[in-house]
Amino acid sequence: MKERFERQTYWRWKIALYLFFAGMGAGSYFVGILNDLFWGKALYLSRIGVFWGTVLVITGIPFLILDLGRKDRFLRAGINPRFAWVGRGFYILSIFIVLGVIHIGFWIWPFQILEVDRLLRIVLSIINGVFAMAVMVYTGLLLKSMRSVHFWDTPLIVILFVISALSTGIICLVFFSMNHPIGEGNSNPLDFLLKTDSVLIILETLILAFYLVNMANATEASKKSVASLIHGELKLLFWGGVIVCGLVLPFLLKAFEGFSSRSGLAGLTLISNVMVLIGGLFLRYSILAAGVQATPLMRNYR
Amino acid sequence: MRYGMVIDLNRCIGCHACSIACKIENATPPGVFWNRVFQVEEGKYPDVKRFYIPILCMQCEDPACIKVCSTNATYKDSRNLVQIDEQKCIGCKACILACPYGVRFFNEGAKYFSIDVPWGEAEKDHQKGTVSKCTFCAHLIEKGDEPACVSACPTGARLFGNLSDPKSALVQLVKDRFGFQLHPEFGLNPSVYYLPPKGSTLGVVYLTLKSSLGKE
Repeated sequence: MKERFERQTYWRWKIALYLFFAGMGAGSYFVGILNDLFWGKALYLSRIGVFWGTVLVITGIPFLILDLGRKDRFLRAGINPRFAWVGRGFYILSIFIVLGVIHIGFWIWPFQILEVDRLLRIVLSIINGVFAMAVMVYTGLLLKSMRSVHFWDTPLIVILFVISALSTGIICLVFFSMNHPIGEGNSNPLDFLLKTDSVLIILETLILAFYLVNMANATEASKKSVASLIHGELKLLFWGGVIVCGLVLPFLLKAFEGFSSRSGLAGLTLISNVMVLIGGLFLRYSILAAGVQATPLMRNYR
Repeated sequence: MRYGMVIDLNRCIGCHACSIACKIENATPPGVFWNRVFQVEEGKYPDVKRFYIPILCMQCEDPACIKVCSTNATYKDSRNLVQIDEQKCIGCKACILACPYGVRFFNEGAKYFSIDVPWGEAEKDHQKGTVSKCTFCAHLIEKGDEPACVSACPTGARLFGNLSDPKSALVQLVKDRFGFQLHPEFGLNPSVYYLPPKGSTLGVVYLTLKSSLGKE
């Protein structure tokens, strides 16, 4: 099939920011809840996750609405959730935010009913934990369902987005709990989180590489997408923003921190954390911007 | 009843009359071309040929755009044609990215023509910030006319009619001349068929003469 190729210009920064905030928020909510359900110590971490997770997802919504052609009609996005991922996302996000706000209200604000009854809190955590995961998965599936962009048409993009969401979510937890008196138990939960994050960064790098190699061998359009990232128009953004700033440097900084003495390196941790966040945003943007639409011109009839 | 179109690539001379006729008839905003004509080159030197291919909404039987529309703004009307209700569209642009034929456009602006002469007969108020695409000139079909691009084509490369009738000229042409759909493997079953180009000017002249003589 002879085809015509065009870089898509329809979903750019606003959608990237939205995907980033939604992923980060849902990630930190999810990790916060895991901490509450399975570890049960250092509950302030869970509180921070629940609170900032919900707030960050809410922060992403305006970007989504701003990207619409008709912003005044955004409530209609929920009319057809049967097939459309935009419509499904509308409900996933709405339910997540409502349950998250209830969670905040009950647990953190003065009412604190859930503090009294732990079972209720656990049930709410599990239900909204599922929705937090759904938000992370949906950000990938939204792109995957766009047929004309072959670069997005793979389950790997979902896995990549989920891992990036968890990684940035953990950073978010660490970031907001830095000033908190650390260590309710014997071990420092932040240390554990940062180590987990290093593992996630390695995993993310591997999956990103696998994704790109896969796409470089898929179709003509996805080849062009990969080329624009590796040595095309987006190479600075990709190598500088995603690879060096988002993956390599944070990992090196963390490794350096691990080998050296523990004290006096809060500044380094902060820098590497900010880098992971910037990398997460650039990852979303470069994947969006690299999307090449392939449209047919002619079949191969000879 | 399933409206369809057959476009004979032997006859298309790349004059873009269909694109202009479409723009006049439907008063589409700047940058929006519901019908476009592309130039295609095939083969390697010295065995090269060049031809033109008009691309418009394929009016799929099982459209990808309807599935991703979260507001039901894209729908199938009573004539089985895929249409967009600009009053319902929120401009999320998902359908533009989902359509594998690249025939959907985002209306950046609404007004285009600066004079108040009534040109085409379609509704001219395209809404800014919504998505639009070829309607197969549903307002003309309603009156029993052909779409504007079909009647504007100087070489008669386009044929419009009923695809579900096995005796119609459309179906016969597709059968006799090895008509093909674009991306049939996607399973969307487009209603626009193309007749493969043979690439010789003489052949085009011959076909045009033959059919115009045959008509009279």
